[in-house]
Amino acid sequence: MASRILNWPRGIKIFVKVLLMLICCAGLCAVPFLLQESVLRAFVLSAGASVAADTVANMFFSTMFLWFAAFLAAMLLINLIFFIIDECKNDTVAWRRTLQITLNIIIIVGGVCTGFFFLMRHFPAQEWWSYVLFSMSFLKKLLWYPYLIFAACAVFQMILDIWLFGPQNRNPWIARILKRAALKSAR
Amino acid sequence: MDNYILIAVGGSGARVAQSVVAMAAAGMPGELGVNTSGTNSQLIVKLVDIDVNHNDGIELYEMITAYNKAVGQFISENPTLFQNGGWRPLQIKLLTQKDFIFDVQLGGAGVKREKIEDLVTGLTGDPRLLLDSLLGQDDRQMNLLAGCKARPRIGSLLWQYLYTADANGFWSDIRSLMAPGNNTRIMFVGSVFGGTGASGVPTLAKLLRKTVNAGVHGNEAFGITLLTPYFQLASPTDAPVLSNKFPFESKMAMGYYESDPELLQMDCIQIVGDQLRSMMTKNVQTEAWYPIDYTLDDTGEQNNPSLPAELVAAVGVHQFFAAKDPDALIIHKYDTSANEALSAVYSADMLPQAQTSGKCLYRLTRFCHALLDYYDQMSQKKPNVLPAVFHNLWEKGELRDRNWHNDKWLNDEQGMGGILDLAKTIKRWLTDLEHNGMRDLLDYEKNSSIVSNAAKKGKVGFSVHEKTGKDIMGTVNNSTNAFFRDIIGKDAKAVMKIRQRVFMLALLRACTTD
Repeated sequence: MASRILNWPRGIKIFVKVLLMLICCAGLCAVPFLLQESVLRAFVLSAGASVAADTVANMFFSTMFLWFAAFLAAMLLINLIFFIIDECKNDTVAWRRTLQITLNIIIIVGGVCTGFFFLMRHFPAQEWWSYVLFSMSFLKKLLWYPYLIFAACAVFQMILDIWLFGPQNRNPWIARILKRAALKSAR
Repeated sequence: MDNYILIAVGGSGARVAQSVVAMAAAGMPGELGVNTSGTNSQLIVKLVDIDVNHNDGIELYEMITAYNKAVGQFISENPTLFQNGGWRPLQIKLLTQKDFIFDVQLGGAGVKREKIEDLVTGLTGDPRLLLDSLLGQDDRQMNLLAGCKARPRIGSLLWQYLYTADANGFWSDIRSLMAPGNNTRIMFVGSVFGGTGASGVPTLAKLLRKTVNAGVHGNEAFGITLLTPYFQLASPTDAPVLSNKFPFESKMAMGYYESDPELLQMDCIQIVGDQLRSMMTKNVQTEAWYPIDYTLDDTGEQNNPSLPAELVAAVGVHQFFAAKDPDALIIHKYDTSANEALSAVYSADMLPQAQTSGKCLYRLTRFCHALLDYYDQMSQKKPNVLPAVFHNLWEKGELRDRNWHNDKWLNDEQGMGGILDLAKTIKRWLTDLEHNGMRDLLDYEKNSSIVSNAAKKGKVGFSVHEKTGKDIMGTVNNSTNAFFRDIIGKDAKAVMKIRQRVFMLALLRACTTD
């Protein structure tokens, strides 16, 4: 099976890799939804608040999700551009790979900084923030988990896009895995 | 069985044979319609020379050996390897050194037959007087082991005697290929202005034809390729080979052909000539190119570069082999340019079979650039920057080995040593042509430095004769994936062979425009 996949026409291999990158990115973008319920439930407002708690919670969650998905999508877009260039050129120039990794790191750092801005500056400045009642432990989680989850997902996507499903001439891990399997079955 | 036999006589013959081998490696026979699939077609190249320092012949032998190590062995193992079009090299029968050259056994251990005097010992009286009157003392005393040196009168005396002696069964082996049911085309190649070729080609062609026709035989066509003067030597005035004597020698030889009915009955006579060109050759130590002088010392090596006229003759030889009717008259058109800035042969249109000749030459140049200037350079880099082809064919641990380049990549068995050797011999042939009148057509050295520089940076942004580097590398990467399919159930030794075959096929596929 592995040797059959290795012998697929190049166009099909590229199509499958791009498809897998898109699916993985969509999957990573959906990670916040795993925490959606607990975040929404945690929002309780004190008496006298001018807005409903679920409205605030939804606004908070959708803003966080958009931030999360936008940066991952931007990373995917950049990696797809590099992937196509690499597949077209069939070269192994080091500077392009370095640039790609640098841009990915910038996106990760940029994402964390933007998240920091939302959680530490933007939301606390909102009028309704003063009515929000959080337990201290949840506040701690809210302030740190988004960065950690984003950073983890972004690093994971970087590994997927650059190394696992990378262009053929960069000897991607998927090819190594398939080659190892093909060699194992050949012996 | 279809046999294409080339008998190269003398130095010029050997160099035409080099061009024939190079063009056969480039797939010219297949392009001209020869059925190259199966083991039913084979090219057999044999050399006739009495010069023991025949470097042109040694280069020819090395070229065929390298070709068989890189390509021929795989055709023998799998005759249908090249049946799907594209670059289809012809099988060249691998001969041992003994079978390859007509060892006339004039010299060697314990044998003292270096002069005419040594061959006609014991002559007294009238026979002695006759010999002395026919041959001057310098002829009788000349060193035969250095070749006939523009003295066909010496050669013509020797060949009849040597053909009949048939050392090592050289001629009977050839005759055995002409069995009933076999189709054989046999071409003799040599110059008309030298000594060995001028005397050997007509004498031996007539003798072989006569002997074959006298016995039971198959379907044969005999051809002769004659090279009229096409080069000149910067020689001292007392040298035995003088370029200004070439036209006179040639006229004498052509007169002989004109008056001999047996020669005129040959199925094909190809005559190729050119302006007298000074030959440029490469100094191995300094790598500088310099014009060749004649060596006064008879024991000096004859190692001339390949010239465009020899390539043209080789194309004609392939036409003779491939033609449906070997009697067909072939007239090559040759345009010359008044533009002195251009090299003598600046376009493929100036060669016979222009489209095919150009295609084959470009295939070979791309092959050499890809292998020697790109992959050989890349093979010395760290594993993480190596292109996919290296990772496809070798395991990670092997690539990480500090001595991988020397121990594996350059190795004949475990690596690509055989294919690299072929590329090196082809490169020598191509650069000879480039420095002797085909600079603008081949552009070899210019492209070589462009490809090398690109390889150093891991780039592929170059183009060699309208084929881009990215196309070549992409095709090689993809094609070598067949390795994983082909090695199923094979032992380690077989895997090494499959690796070479897969890489070679990938390169051939990548370097052709089909």
